[in-house]
Amino acid sequence: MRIRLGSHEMTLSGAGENLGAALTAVGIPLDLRCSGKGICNRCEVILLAGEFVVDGRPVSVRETPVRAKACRTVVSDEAAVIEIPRKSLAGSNPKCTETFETGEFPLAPECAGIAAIMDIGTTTVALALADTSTGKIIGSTSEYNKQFKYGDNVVSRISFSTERPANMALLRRALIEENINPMLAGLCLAHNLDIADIKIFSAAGNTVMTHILWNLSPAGMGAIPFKPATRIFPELPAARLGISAAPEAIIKAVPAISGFVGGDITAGITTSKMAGECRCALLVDVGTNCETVLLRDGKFYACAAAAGPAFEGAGVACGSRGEQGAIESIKIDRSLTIHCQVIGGGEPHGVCGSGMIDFVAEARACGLLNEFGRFDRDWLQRSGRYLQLADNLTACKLTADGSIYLSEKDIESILKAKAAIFAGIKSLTGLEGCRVEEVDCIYLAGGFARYIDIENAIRIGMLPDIPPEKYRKIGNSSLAGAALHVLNRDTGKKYLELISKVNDIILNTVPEFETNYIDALMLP
Amino acid sequence: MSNFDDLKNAIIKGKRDEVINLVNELLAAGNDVNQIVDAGMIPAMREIGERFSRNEAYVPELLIAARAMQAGLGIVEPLLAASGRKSLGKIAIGTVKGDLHDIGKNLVAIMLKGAGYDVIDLGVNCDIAKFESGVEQGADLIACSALLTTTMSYMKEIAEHFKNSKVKVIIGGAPVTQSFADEIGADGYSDDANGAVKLVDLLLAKTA
Repeated sequence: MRIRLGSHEMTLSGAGENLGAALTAVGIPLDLRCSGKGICNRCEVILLAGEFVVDGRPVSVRETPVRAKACRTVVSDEAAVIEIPRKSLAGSNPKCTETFETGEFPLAPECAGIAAIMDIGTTTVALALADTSTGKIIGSTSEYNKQFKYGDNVVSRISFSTERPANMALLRRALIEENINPMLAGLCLAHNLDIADIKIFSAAGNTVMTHILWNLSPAGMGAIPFKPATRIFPELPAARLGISAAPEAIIKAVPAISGFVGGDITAGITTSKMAGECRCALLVDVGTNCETVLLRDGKFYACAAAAGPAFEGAGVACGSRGEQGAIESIKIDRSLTIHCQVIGGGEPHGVCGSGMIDFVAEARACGLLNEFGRFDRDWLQRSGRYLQLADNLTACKLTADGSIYLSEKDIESILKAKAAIFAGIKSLTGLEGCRVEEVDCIYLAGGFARYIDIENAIRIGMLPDIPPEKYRKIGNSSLAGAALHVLNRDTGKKYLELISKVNDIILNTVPEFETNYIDALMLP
Repeated sequence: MSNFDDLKNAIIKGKRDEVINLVNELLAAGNDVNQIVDAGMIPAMREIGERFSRNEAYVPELLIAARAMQAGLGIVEPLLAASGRKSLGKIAIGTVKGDLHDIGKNLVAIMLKGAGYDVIDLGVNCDIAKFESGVEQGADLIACSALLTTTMSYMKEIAEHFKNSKVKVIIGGAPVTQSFADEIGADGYSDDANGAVKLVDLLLAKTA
């Protein structure tokens, strides 16, 4: 078969094989985020010619190209021609997620030498090297988590880990041998260091990822009562986990608060210094699993809301992650002229989360969208922006040719994601009878939060309506917390005190959550 | 003076307080409770469901309408029971063992009620015994929901348990697919809440 990828063309044998598997085997990084279950539609390819079996049914392509999920397609003849759209590839370089601030702290390292600090997220893995004698960061790097091919969210990874006994090893191999070890080697090479110079490793991440790194089963977190095997991870020689490290180098992890609120949040609470600065504050880590922490009069409450992957581009037809070629910001004027800013310039291939927030905010402000997220179809038609998709679906063209668009179905996905985030915040503050006006500061953690326009996020009802100057973007506080863990030897004790103080709230058991969620689905 | 169309429109628009007022007014004016349901409430849910399946309404509108419907049903349900009303069929619905996500399940429950079915809501974290208790209360059909890939596997046990009984089993939830339903031998699957109503219509019409 012949494979077309942009201007490249290659010949591949593999008739009779699953197309998704055949492409992955030759190193084409197809986006198999639902682990090839045929649910997510992210690995869509265009069958240009030849005989295929799609979803168990024979498909013969002559003149009209057919779109199909690679993971559900078997190529039946060697002469087949297949095109792989760029958006069906999993990207390799996430937009910078390594920026962080630890604030001021007394430098009191546990040991001399170089420390490797890492943030293990479900979507991205970030790694930095620090000099423990000066506290300075030598270099950093980040990548998408290579476990992506086994599922795009924590729950699907838990589920994968329990499907077969060998799967845990596959998840660990992806994380350690495909992410961590090559990233370490690359950083060492770039900064003229040897792996043996790294004397200590420090990790922070969500509870499921930390379990997998520590080779502990995450199964208990997959169902009620969502209990982790442990919240405190023992210090171990890093080499014992499979990390390329000197035999004496140890690894430690920031302890977790609960199954769905991990060490990354323990790190965020600490490095944001929210407890020292405010009487009442919120920490929100905006992501597929949106963790929220409320601090009020010295008491902490934490919850996680399932926002889903819409802001990462999944479940949105022209969605993209925040990478080269994605529309990252949008402005719409009264004449319905749409101005798009593309990461890296050039022609866009999709819209990332920050662009989606801008679009909804701007379209609602000018009256193009109503409170339910429905388009004014007449106006779209008059302005030449109207696109009618299959099944009577209305969409708005973002590019003149209509190759990039947002449909009402996409807006629905965006509304569901923002509603989960807002309902999480509202249900948590509601528990304590806390009014949003009382909040002194909202700390926004995580890579995605850095790129969102806060005023637009408030306008669409994703974040509480308080003055934008009360918001603070703190970057990758997970990485900051991992750094603090090795640069100040008192930190570990503080983490342990903190995790025993935070009240873990399961949102679905909060009676107001459902009605808060339904209210938050609408656009203000 | 309020009428049934006002009630229908208030439900479709999701105006909860208006629905409560209108139902109370209609009752106070001496209207038969069955007529309020048949002429005002059921047509509203049928219509929003139809709009949904034509891509003219989306989940936010459906949820808001369902919440308004629920507010109205809260008033009329005790009266309906007392009036000896005969339902289209009885359904026991619940979120499966290990899972406690219930917004989707609650929506399906209201849509079914809004279509004229009698619904027993078994709540969350339901094991086979819990679903059995629904059958003991006369359910003709069991509707199972799961939001987590980790909990959906329990649906297989449920489907197998009820395989040789007269009770039909249908499944749904974000990670669930038609092929999963086929694989575990469930009687039906739906992608969304309105599809669930159509599925139940079909399955219970066949058995009747």
